[in-house]
Parts: sequence; structure tokens; C-alpha cells
Amino acid sequence: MNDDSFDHTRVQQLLGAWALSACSPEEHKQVDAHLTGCAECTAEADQLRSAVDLLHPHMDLDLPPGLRAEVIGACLSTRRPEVSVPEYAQPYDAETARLDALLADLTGDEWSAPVQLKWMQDEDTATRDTTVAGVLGHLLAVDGMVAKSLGLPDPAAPAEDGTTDPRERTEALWQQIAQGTAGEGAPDLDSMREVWRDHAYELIRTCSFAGGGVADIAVPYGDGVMLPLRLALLDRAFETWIHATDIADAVDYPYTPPVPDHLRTLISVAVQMLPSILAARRQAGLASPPLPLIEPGAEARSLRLRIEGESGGDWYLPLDGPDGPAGPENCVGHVVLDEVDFCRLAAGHLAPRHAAAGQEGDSTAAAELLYAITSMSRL
Amino acid sequence: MTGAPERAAQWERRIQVRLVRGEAAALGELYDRHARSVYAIAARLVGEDKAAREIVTEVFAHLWQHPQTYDPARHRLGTWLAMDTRERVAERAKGDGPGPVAPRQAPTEPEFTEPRAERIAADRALGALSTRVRAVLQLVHTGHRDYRRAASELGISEEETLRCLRAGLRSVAGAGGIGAEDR
Repeated sequence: MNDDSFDHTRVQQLLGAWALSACSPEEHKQVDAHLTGCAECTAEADQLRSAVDLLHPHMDLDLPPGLRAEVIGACLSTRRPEVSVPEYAQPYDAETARLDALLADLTGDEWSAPVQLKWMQDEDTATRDTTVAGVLGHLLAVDGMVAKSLGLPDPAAPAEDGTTDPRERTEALWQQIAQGTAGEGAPDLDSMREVWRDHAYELIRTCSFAGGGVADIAVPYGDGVMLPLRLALLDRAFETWIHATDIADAVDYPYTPPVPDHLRTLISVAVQMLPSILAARRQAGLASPPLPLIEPGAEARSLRLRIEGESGGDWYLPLDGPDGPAGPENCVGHVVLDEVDFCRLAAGHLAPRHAAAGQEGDSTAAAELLYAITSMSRL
Repeated sequence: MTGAPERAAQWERRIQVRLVRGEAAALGELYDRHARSVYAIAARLVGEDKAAREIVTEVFAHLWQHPQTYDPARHRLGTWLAMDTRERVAERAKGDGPGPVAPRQAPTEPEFTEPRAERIAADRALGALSTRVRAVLQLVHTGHRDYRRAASELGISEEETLRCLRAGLRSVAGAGGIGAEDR
């Protein structure tokens, strides 16, 4: 077919079928060729193609969960990036992308679906009622602390006193949104998703350009706690996943755990923190059930924690001081947890007494460990 | 005032610069914005998940390796990616033997997903279309026929089939708030 018989009018006729990929291969090529030179047809082609994205059900296939990592991995192996996303930011990158894909599917009503946030406080379950939009506001308010430490504008810009307490920041942001008093660049209900998404992209981008140079800058996390940026971002990845499951539950949507590599990183970071948490709880006299008295000179004990699943592992944790010896020779008990249950426990979404898949030996020590894990949770 | 289309065009120019610069974070943003429709086209045309994933990988890998081949002044990125996806499917089909394009089988059991707000508006627009337009659209879109086969199955002319597809998509676009823009 030559150009004369295959003209503008013919392309216009074909555009609907073209947008649905329902022409012959030759016709597709001819339309494609025509589009490079015709603004009018290009505009209509874009419009019709976008319309196809709105049709369902078959076009509305969920993206396979592992595909993002697969595609990006394949790309980066064919051309090495000049500026890479640092390893400590990759779980955050992946989890914000997954949550955003879930948010893309929400209808207007679903944004106001009720959500009850749960965490452990003073050895008991604390709750706070909010909505799907409120959960995203909470994520943004806490992500903002990381942004601030990097010198980026704080999107939540709450409390004039510049509090670094995650809960206070969240409440302040919620209040601003409710009263419509959010400042410049801060989100309102309509722009929440966009502000949160752009903010996450900006964080990832800033870390990429700064690379290892910022991995250890201190991020204030409330209560005098300081986390190095690389741990703070892993915490944000963890929280993004956990709160995405809150949102998914509220709108009755399935949601899978992070890819195994990322889940493994999140789990091992949490496990590494356990010895000092156990010690801090002992010092604070926080032990329920109460700790047995340790006789002076008694041998330091350890407990074996086995986390089952592809991202799990096997650890001996010192029970009597974070630097104490830990191994089979001084092991007094054994706790087995499923990998996702470990995370839900650490998020305060699962009660310690329901968590263990298996337990042997010293039950007091085992309970102490389960409570230490769940004490990591907060709003 | 900058409207949504202008912002989208800006984003496309910017993402290309970032890809040229070799920014891995830009690749993630590109994937997040376009993977869904690239995968949908690939899955629909090859009808099989593994092959569809490979096509998606090829499409993004090509743009990552050769970001200069995309010209933001000429094409919207979504359209360009759709063209590239179809070409790769066609090439693959050639290599696999007979048939101009890979068999247009239905993908197996799509997962149920909650509709987006625009999609609900699109549904309403579909309901308002004439029975004929709806039948053609359905046969091509969910029945995976090309337009010639749809025409012969419905006993209408090819021209009429093309007219129905174009008119149907235009109404859906209108209801979904997608305007045609001049570039």
C-alpha cells in the first residue's frame, strides 16, 4: 500500500482498532508511521489509548508483584546506572511503589473507609481510629522526619514547636487537614496521594545522589531516639508495608509481603535490635511476666529464635545483656515464628500470646522475647 | 495555568533527561507510571504471563539503554511504549512461526480488582452506548478478535466496525475525563 491510498482519513478510521491493538500488523505499522508526522491523529491516538486503560476486566490485570524488581534488575544489568538507588533505600522504593499501585485502584468512597491503627504501648494494645486517607497522612508525617534530616522541605510541617515525635506529628497533620489549615505545599484530602508519592520519590532521589554519604546521618525519631538514615529508611519501608496492609484490609483487597530479599533485610535489622531492646526493658523493669532473679555470677543465658520462611533465619540472642555470649551452650529455650507473623508482631498487629508457631524450654524467657519484639511497634 | 496534559508532557521531557543521565530512580518512576498498560497490552497479545513479562522487560530495558530513541516532542510516552510493545510482540510471533500476530487468546483468569473512579465513569459511558457499539467493543476488547474477525462474526462491514470502535472509545475517554490535546 502506498502513501496516497493510505492517507490521513484512513488512519483516522483505524485509530479505535489501533488503540485496542486489533489491526493487522501492517496497519499498525502504517498508523505508527503516520502518527510521527500528524499532530491531530497523535492527539486522538493518545486519547483513545488512554480510554482503553479504563476498560475492564481484561486490561485491568494486576501487575505481577515481583515484576518491578525483575524489570529494574534486568535493565540495570544491561546498562549500569550512573546514579543508583542505594541499597538501604531500595525496600522503601519498592514498598512505596506497591502502596501507590493499591491507591491507584481506590474509589472516592474507599478513601474514607475506616481503619483502626494498632500498636503496643505500655504493654497493652493501643488503637486509634482513622480512615484510609488518614493512614497515608500518618505515613507522610513520619516520612517527613527523614526528609527534614536530609534538608528537604517537610511536607507535614506540623507543630510550630517542630516536634520529632511521630505520633504528635501525625495528630498535628490530621488536625490541619481536618481544619483545612495545612500550609503551602502541605496536602489536603484531594492531593494526599500525589503529595505523598512525590515526596517519596524526592526522598529516594536525594538519597541516590547523596549515596553512602548520608547513610549515617542521624534522624530524630522522637523520645530522644536517633536512627541513622539507612535504618530510618528501612523502618519507613517496614511501616509503609504494614500500613499498606491496614489499607488493603479496610478495602478488602489482597496484599502480599515484600519480595524475599527485602523482607529478609527488614527482618534481620529488627532481630539485630532485639538484644539491646531486651536489655533496655530489663533496666526499665518492664517485664511481663516478671523476670526471674538472676543470681550474681549466674551464667548468662541465650534464647534461640527461628524465623521460618524464605526470608527467615536462625539466631541465638543474648538474654542477659546485649553483649553477652549466645549460642547452643547457654541456650535455655527456643521460639519459632513465621516470617510474616514476626513482622506483624513487631508492628503490634499480632498479640504475643498468639504469635509463636512453636516454643520449647524456658517459657518465661520466651515470653520476654515475644514482648520485646512487639514493643518495637508504635504509631 | 498549567493543565494536566502540560504537566504530563513536562514529566516526560524530564524523565527522558534523567534516563539519559543514567538515574536508576527515574527508571522506577517510569515503571510505576507505565508498567500497567505495557503489561496489559503484552498480556493481551501474547496471552501468556511468562512471555508478557519478558516483553515488558524488553520494552523498559530498551528505553533504559537507548533513552534518546524516544522523542518527547513527537509522541506521548504512553503511545510510544504501546507501539514498541506491539512491535516486540509481532517480532516474537514472526520468530515463532506462522501467524501475523501471536494468537489472540484470552489471558487466563484475570484477577478481580476494584475499579478506579474514572473506570466507574467509563462503565457508565459504556452503558450509554448503542448495543451495536457495545457489542463490537466487547468482542474486540474482551473477546480478543481483531477488527476484521469481529466484523465478520457480527455480520457488519469492516468500516462500520472501525467506526464503532472509535466512537466507543471516544465516549469512554470523554466520561473518564481524558481530552484530546494538541501538542
